[in-house]
This record gives sequence, C-alpha cells and structure tokens, in this order.
Amino acid sequence: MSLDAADAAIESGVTAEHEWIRVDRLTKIYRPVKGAPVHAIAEASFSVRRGEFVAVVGPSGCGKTTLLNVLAGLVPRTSGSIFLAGTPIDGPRRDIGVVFQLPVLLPWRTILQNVMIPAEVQGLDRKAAHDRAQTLLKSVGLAGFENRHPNELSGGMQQRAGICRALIHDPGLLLMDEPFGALDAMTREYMNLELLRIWSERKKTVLLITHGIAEAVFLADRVFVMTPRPGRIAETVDIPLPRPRVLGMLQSPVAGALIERIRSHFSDVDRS
Amino acid sequence: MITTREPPRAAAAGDPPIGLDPVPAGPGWVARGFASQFFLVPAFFLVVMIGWETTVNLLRIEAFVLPTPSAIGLELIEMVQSIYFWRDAQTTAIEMSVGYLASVGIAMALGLAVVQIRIVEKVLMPYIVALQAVPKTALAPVFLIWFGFGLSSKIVAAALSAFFPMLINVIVGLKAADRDQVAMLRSFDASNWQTFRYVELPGAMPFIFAGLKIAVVAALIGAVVGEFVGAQSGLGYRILQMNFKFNIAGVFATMVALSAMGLIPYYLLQFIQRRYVYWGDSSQVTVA
Repeated sequence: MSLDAADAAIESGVTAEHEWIRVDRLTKIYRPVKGAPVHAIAEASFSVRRGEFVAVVGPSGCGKTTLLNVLAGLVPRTSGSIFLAGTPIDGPRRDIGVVFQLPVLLPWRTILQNVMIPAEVQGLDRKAAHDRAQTLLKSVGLAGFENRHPNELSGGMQQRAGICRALIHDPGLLLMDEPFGALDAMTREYMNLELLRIWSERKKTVLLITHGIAEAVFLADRVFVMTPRPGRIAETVDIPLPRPRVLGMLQSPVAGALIERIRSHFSDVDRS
Repeated sequence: MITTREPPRAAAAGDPPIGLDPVPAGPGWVARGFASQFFLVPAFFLVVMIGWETTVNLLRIEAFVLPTPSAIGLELIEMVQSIYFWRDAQTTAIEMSVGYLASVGIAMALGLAVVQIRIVEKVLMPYIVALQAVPKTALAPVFLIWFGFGLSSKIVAAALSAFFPMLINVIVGLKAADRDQVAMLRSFDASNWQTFRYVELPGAMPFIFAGLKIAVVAALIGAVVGEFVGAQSGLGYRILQMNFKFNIAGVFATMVALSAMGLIPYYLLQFIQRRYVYWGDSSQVTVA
C-alpha cells in the first residue's frame, strides 16, 4: 500500500492514493435535435482508490454506460470535473483500457493482431508488446489461438481476447461496460473469477458497469448504485467480503443482506 | 441501391449448426452442391441448346432471323481464327480497361472526399444521387461529337457507365463502418487516420469489391454502346457490321466473346475478394 501511495504521489504530485479517480458534480445532458434534453448523469460525485475494484450497478437507461463513455473520454461531459491521476480527462487517454459490452474484435485481424491494436496505435515498442500479448493470451487460456480469426472463437473466448487488448498497453485504469452481459450464466461465472485473478495479479484499478447485483457484490470493493432519470449515484455500498473471493460467498448472510440493500433501490424505481 | 454483399467465407456465430441444414428435396445425389455445380449446370445448358436447335429446324426459321447454336458455334470457331476479330477485341478491351481504371480511380478519390469532408458531401451528394438515375449511355452520341470517332469517346462512355456504381459503393462502404469498432479504436487514442486505416477501409472492402465487379461489366457495356454510335473498330462495331450483312450467327458469336470479356475480369475480382476480403458480412461478430 505505501509503495502504491508513493507511486501515486510521484505520478501526480498532489493526488492522494485514495482519490486516484476524482469525479466532482459530473453532469451529462444529451440534447437531441428533436425532443427534450435527456439528463443522463446528474451531479455525480465520487472517488476511487488506486487499485480499487468498483462496480456501478443500475437498471438499463440509468446512465451507467454514459458514465463509462465520459470516463473513457469518448463522450464530452456537460459540466463538472473528472481527474485521473491528477490530470483531467478531456478525451481518450493512453492510461485507460476499455472493455466493451461486445468483444468488438476486428474480423480481418487475427486474435494476436487484435490484441496488438492499442500498442500499434500508440506506437509502443513492437517486440515488447508482442511478447506481452503472448503472455496475456496465455494467462487467459488463449495460448494456441493467436493466429485464429475472431469468428473461430466462442463468445467467451472473444471477450477474453478483448480483455487482453484492454491490458496490452499496461493502463492503470480498466473500464468495463457489462463485459460479460452477452455470455451465458456459466461462462459468466467463470469469467468473473478470471477477472478477479487478472485484477489481483496486475494491480489495476477497475471500474465495472453491470446490471447484475450479485455480480457487483461478488467482484467489487465498493458498489455505486445508480438510479435513472436523472441518472445519479443513489448510494455507495462497501462490500466487506474477504478476498480472495470464492463463489460460495454469495450464499453468506452478509452478501445476501448487501444484495437486498442494493436491490431495494430498484424496487422503488420499478413501482414508479 | 447497387450494393451487394458476399456471404462470409467462414461461418458466422449466428449460423445454424451444420446438422440442422434443411434436408434437400429430390434424389440425394442430384441435389448435392457438387452435382449441381458440375452436372446440373452443364446439363441445363445442353438441354436448352438442343431445344433451341430442334425448334429452329422444326419451324424452319431462317438463319438471318435466328441461327442455330451449331451455326453460332461454327461461326465462333471461324471468328477466333480471324485477325480482324482479335483486332476488334483488342480495341474494345483497351476502351473498357482504360475507362474502367480511370473511373475506379476517380470514384475512389471522390468517394473518400465525400465521406471525409462534410462540405463536399453536402454539396455533391444530391447530384450524385440524381445523376445515378440518368441513363448515361444516352450521352454516347454527344461524346462522339466531343471526343471524335477514335478510342477516346468510347473510353469516356465506358468510364461514365462504370463511375456511379463504383462511387456509390465506395461511399456506402466507408459509411458502413461499425460504430462499436470506431469507438473501440478511439478509446485507445487512435487518430482519424488510424481509425480509417484500421476500421473504415477494411470495413468498406466488401462494398468496394462489389463496386469493382459491377463497374467492370458496366465499363464493357459503356464501351460497346460507344462503338454502336460510331466507330472504326471494336466488338460493338463488329456486331453492327455482322447485322448489316444479316450474319446473325456472327452477331451471336461476337456476343459470346463480349460475355467472356465481361465475365473473366468479374470472376477474377470475385476470386481475389473470396481470398483476401474474407470477412464480408461477418464484421458484426456476435457473441454466441
């Protein structure tokens, strides 16, 4: 911890380790050409520790994907501020890796070539990136698939390649937008364990968007509960389950109470 | 819209499992893909030819109205031994290929400009859409006046008829870029040029190849129409000559040669596409 803190201090000079991401009164309003403006995010404020695993949970249309897109620098914010490692996020950044809802692999490139995209785009040392890609693919069980094309792989395998791609340029922050939403329940469970393993091995900060409450509780240190119209963070729930997490923990009374507490936000939404 | 999409080479995730293919009707050995390719297609040709031959003979149709396939065949054999035929074929081939290459080059450049530069799209797109509907071959007589009886007027006619199918496919293809793929590239801080090179151009390739294939046939039609209006050589010119002499078998034989001139580059492009642009429609890889 103290080493991480030292790193953070050196990197930013001012940013404390516990405010590695700092979001202050972030608002995003979409103004469509026709129709009323949409308050996708209203005055969201939060901070994330370096190395923390945070899940943002909420029903569809609550602005959680917008939140991720703003953090990824893909969508401009309307007002408020976002800082990552002490510098504002005003566009795509090279210290962020994004994992999308779908794998979004390019079908004309092999798996290895797909994983290499961020390294190529950012002009990183090719040889080093190549070795790194091989190591990453091996660590997610895709050794031997380097020269296959995406359509030869299952959905779970494609998404694992997508995670490798998000890690190839060694970003400090991993943004994940319902990365396992399109997978079947069993593959999803397995992918969650994989994700925790990658996270604990590589010491990344993770912000994961999901609509799965149990998934959020299982994975995260803290869960941000978002409610829709306007999208706001209704509550931040600490998850005191010990690590390493194992699947059985979700059956514990503590986990059950946490899931219930998060769910209570959405039962109100449903009735309205 | 003049766009076609080739089926992807490898099976997409959404395809039904192989075991669930609908059972082909009829005797099994005939319905197999192999049999239909190498047996049914030639067999159909043979049946039509025999039917044609016997009908012409039975009804005693004059050869200058409708020649028999055998007469056309004989004419074809004679034709390919004639130096004049090859001179005509060469003329048309030059008109077609020069017109085609010029048209493809200009259509690619203009298509890029339309997609990349907002103002170009705003100003030109309505005209491109409107001009697409104009029968370009109707302009062939005017080209004769502008560019003379030589090759140039036919090259221009070929280029013009190849131009729009190519242009439209380039534009549609470049605009069809998958939004998720573009967002993915941008999230890794890719420049516009990198996004173009990594996503937009390869994504447009199936459309570009569709355009290349349609345009090559269109260029041939343009060249022949140009020759019809006024020429000193070429296969279109040859057809007119044969027609004047009531050598209808010669007209048909020349048409066979013209078809070959269209089909050979078409299938060559098809072969290249199958081999190198294998992603086709599978660009939207779905999660199984």
